Amino acid sequence: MSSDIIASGVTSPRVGWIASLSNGMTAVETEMTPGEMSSWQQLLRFLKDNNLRITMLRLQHNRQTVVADGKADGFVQCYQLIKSVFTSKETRYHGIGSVFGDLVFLTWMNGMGEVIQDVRPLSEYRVHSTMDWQAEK
Amino acid sequence: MATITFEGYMGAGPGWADLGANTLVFSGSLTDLTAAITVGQFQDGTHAGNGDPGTDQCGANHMNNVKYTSGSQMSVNGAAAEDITDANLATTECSLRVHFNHTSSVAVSGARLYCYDGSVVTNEGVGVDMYVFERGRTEVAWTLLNDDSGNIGGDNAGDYKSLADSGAATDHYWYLAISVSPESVGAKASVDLGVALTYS
Repeated sequence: MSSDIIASGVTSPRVGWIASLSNGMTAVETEMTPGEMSSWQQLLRFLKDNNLRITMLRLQHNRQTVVADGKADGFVQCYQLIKSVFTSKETRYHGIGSVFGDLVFLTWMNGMGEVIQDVRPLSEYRVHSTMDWQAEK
Repeated sequence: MATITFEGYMGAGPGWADLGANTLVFSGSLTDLTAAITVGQFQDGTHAGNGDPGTDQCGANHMNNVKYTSGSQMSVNGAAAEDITDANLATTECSLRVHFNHTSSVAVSGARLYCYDGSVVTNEGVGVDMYVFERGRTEVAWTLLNDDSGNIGGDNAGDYKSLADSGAATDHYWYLAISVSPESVGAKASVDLGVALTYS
């Protein structure tokens, strides 16, 4: 994992996800070099390589912060992008989620400060989750 | 930075080109985007237009037209009907390519295509039937995406078309055939296509 993702301290305000790891480290979302894996995909691999798990995940958009449930079986982080052909309308959301069993409890934020909650099957979000990468509790 | 572009196989070459500010136009002719489609029939032409429909922006070669002829058959650019399969429909014969690009390598899931009225994503497109086929899924039939009179359409479970997941990469593509039929006479201004996807 890029050393850019591991932070010794996190300043506020910032935009992106922040993950506390079971070894006491903190990982933060960063802009990656073009072509590199996204910082979340790098974090998933870092968890597996070092037998770690996330103990707390939060999503910060300037002054707004949402926190995933720390008792979850695992965590999800992802973006949603929506675009229309004819009107070219485009909508972006950034979300984090807590996995409990086969469900993901998601909280989405967008650039307008809207916060939306949703519950979805884990199967739809597994590729964005820690479930196949994290150490056992 | 993440972008979705809608591309047609057209122009000089031809090659895949971003529709950009143009719109996707379905008409009753391979070469004339102003030709009307007969009610109850499916389109004979797919074009890039700069208005509604405006003038043709396809360039030297028009976009490919894939016409619904039955639930399991198609006509490509006016040719005889044949089974709609990956073997019979080349990627470069598809009507539309959805291209998702991200600066970083990301995984994509939950991609879906839906037809709606251009205002409320859960409303069906007004006055049209629409079928879609995604190449690369070993499908052998069209999927009904919109049927205004039958209350089918919009970004609703059971109505939208789920597209294939895609592993970590910077560029992701979905190749689609789309066919449309008007349910009534007149312009169909309240019809739009939406794509939603999730990535990390």
